[in-house]
Amino acid sequence: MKNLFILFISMLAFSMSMEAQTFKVNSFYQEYRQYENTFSLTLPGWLMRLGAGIAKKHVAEDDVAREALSLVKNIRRMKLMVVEDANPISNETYLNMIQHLDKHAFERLISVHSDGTHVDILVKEKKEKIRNLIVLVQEDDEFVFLSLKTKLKYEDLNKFIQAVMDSKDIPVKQKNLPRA
Amino acid sequence: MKNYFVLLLMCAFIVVGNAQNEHLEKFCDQYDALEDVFHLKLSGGMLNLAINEEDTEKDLLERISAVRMLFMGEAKTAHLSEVKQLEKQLKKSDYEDLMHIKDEGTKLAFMIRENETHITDVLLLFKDEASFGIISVEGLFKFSDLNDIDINVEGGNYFKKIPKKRKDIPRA
Repeated sequence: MKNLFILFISMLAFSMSMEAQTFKVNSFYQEYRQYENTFSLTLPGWLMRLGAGIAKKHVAEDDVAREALSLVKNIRRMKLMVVEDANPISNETYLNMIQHLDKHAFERLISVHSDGTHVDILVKEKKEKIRNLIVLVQEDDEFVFLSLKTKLKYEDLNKFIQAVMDSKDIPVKQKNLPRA
Repeated sequence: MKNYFVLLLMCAFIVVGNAQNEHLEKFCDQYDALEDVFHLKLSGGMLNLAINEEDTEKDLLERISAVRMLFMGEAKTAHLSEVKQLEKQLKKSDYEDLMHIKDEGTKLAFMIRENETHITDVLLLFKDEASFGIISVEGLFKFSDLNDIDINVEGGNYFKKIPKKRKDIPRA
C-alpha cells in the first residue's frame, strides 16, 4: 500500500514538473479572431463535402484538384483564421503554441523558419489516421491558422502529394525532392 | 525505501533520455530567428508522404525518422566557440566523431550515434569562410547507408564523402 502511494505521488510530481502553462488552441482562435484585419471562418464537414461534391464535376480533368477534393470527404471540421497587415501575435506566443501542441500529442510534420517567416504543420494521430491537422504561418505582418478535424489516412495524403508532384513534372526520383 | 529510490532513478532516466537531442535543438533554435538563416525540421511522417513506390531508395527513406537542417548565409555564421561547445555536448550524448575532412576550403565534420545494431543519428557540420550549416538525419541505418543519403540542398552532397565501408574512413 505504501509503495503504491509513493508511486502515485512520484507520478503526480513528475507530471506537474512539466510546463504548467496550458495553451488551448480553441481559446487562441476565439481570442484572435476578433482582432482587426482578421478573417476567420469555421466550416462543418458536411458543408465542405457538399461543396466538394459540386466542385468535383467541374474539375474532371484536373488530377490535383480531384485528389484535393477527395481529401475533403475526410474532413469533419475546418477552422481558418488569416491576419493581414498587422500581426498581433508575437513570436513568443506563436512558439508557446507550438510547444504546447508538441506536448499534447501533436507531431510536427514539417517546421521551416527562414528570414523571419515560420511555417509549421502538425498532426495528431489515432489508430493510424490523422485526426487533427494544424497549419501555422507566422510572419511580421501576417498570420495564418488552419485547423482541420479529420479522419485522413497517410495513403490519402500520399496520393495527393504524388498528384501535385506529377502535375509539376517533378520527377519522383529522390534527387529533386527535399528529403534525405 | 528501495522502491522509492528505483522509481526516482526511472524518472531521472526519462528526463535524461528526452534531453539527448536537446543540445542540437537549442543550438538551432537560438539562430533560427535571425535573418539569412534557414532552419528546417522534417519528420519521418512527412518524408513518407513524398515516397513513391518506384523510388530506388524507398527502403532507406522509410527508415528515416527525422531530418533537421540549419544554414546560415553570408555575414552570419555560428561562433566557433559555440560550435565547439555543441560538439562537446553531442559527444556527451553518445555522439562520436566519424571523420573530419576538408573539401575545397570547406571543413566537414561527420558525427554518428549508434545503438547495438544500427546507426541512429548522423550529423554533418560544414563551415567555410562565408557560411555554416548542420544537417542531422535520424533513423536506423547500416554504415553503408550513410553514403546513400542524398539531399538536394546546400551541403547535402557531402554525405557522398562518407565511404561505403567503415574501414575506408580516412585517418589523419
